[in-house]
Amino acid sequence: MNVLEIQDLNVTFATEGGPLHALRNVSFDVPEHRIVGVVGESGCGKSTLINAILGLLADNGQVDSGRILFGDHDLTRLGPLEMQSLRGLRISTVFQDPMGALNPVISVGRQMLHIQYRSDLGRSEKNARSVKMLRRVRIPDPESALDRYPHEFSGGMKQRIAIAMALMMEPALLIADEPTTALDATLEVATIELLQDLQAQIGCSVLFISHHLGVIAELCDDVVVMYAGEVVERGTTRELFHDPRHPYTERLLRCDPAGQSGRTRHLPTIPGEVPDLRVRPAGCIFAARCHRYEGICDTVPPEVGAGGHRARCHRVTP
Amino acid sequence: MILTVRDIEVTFRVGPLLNRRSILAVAGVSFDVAPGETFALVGESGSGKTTLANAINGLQDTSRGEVTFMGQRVDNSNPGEMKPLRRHMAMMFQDPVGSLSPRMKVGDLVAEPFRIHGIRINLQEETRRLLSLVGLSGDFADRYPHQLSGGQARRVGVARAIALDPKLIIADEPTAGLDVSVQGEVLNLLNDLRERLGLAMIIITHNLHVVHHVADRMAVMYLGRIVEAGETEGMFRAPAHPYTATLLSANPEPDPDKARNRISLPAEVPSLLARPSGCEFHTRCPWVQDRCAMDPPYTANGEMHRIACHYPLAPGARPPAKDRAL
Repeated sequence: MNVLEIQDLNVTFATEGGPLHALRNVSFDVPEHRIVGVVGESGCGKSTLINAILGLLADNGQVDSGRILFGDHDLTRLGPLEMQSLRGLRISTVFQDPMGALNPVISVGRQMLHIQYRSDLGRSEKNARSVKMLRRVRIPDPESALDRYPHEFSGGMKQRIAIAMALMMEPALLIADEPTTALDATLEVATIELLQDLQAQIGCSVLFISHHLGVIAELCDDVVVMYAGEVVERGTTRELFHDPRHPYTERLLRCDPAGQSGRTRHLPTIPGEVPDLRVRPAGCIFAARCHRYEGICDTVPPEVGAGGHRARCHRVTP
Repeated sequence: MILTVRDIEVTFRVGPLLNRRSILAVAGVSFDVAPGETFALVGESGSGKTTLANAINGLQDTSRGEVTFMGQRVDNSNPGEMKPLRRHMAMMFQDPVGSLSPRMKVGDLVAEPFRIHGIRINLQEETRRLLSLVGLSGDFADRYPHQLSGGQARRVGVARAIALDPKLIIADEPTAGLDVSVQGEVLNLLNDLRERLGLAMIIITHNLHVVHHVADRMAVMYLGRIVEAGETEGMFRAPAHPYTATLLSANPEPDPDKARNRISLPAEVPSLLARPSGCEFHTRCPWVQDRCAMDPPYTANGEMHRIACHYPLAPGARPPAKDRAL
């Protein structure tokens, strides 16, 4: 069973320089009880993807074609009110900056009470649930934490409170957008371990967006690699890190300083620039920067089949 | 030595008016930076890295200690005294777009240091030269900061930092939020400049993989103090302070099957308002012993490898079993 199925999704933004094709034929699944990582450079469409799923695209953006299946719904067809009833309850989010998710002038307990507005429980039962959730994210002394304000907690604790709030209603899908980027190595690892535990306890699926390859490798079951608005490769984490097939994935892994065995002063990079998405190349999106380029790459866009470990590349036999 | 920092302290006053308390954000830090050397400062957020950088470049007053740059005292100096020296000490701030004025074009931003120091020069030509040095074409001069990507904004920051041919660059999280490929480009650029211009660098970061590749020496900070400092390679091979060992073991690596011998830390980071007694790491240290809660460890200055710990670790040491359960 898949919690979320994205099928052939295309999203464009109207800009001064003409329509910008931000997502092109994006397809992948988020299966039940799995953590799926989305990795790619900034500007590759990760945030557009999240906003499309949540129905929060900016006014100049629109879904041109494709489907986003969540349970019985196609999210691209739901109205704002129907989306509102899913967000927070069935699909919830954690973002990079926990302060953006917490109201600085309302106590943590009150905010956690507010989130449960759809529940029929009484006030004291709701507070008891808040305490339980705070305990699960390992906030010391959770009863007194309810009376405190966000600024009284450290950065790592704030992010854990944001995670507790996101998982409060036991959603089917948690979307986590770079939740550990602002944290240091020790806190980052603690947050990853916490997410893993909670995911197992609650049984939800997680869509985890990050550009930190180490975090993806450690946390995720499956990985989707995006480049310039396209899914260029997808597979299980093991397949992707041990047997990268798309030249972009290959180079991306090689660029990570963590991957260098010896110490080097000159770090590898991917030469060239991401193409202008208003004038997409006719062929493969990565052709101009590819080290395995050949004639066909300029003219014919490579396609990617369904299922298993797949790469959108002419040079890879499917 | 181009920069000598001796036992500096930075104090902040916090709390409501009638109950003011002071906290030590930087609590007696000493280190040196040699010409052409890259020195890294690592530690959790809140460990005082950025405050220390600001104390060095004169943006933050110190309450004790000395900072000597190119033979002159620069701590607590007034802006007028600092100005002639400031052109030799450049700063790259954390937020690449936020550190550029949104109303100025890139060309003006790069030329700004020359204007401030009243240097008469062909600004247009110089701007072009600097932009090409950081790998940006001349037409970027007409763009505004919001039209730049994160990596391009970083490059503009680098162009501004190197404009006046400084002797020292202090880079605060120079690669935070950048993708691995762009991160590599920025670090390679800084390294090329270091080799070509012989400048010294202080890099503040929590990305340990970056530190491993670019830094000659590193210092690990905890609660405003340096707990271990030495050659980068040696410290990565055999961290001697328990906190360094924990940090290095926590570093996520891009290999799903790698065995992770992680050392987990139990409690939360203590508040600066209530510093622990003795060794300040003892509340979280997996190797803690009775003495640690009582005597603060002593570190001598000027040695190659400094460790503030009563019981430095042997290479490859694992925490005692009773604490691993936490």
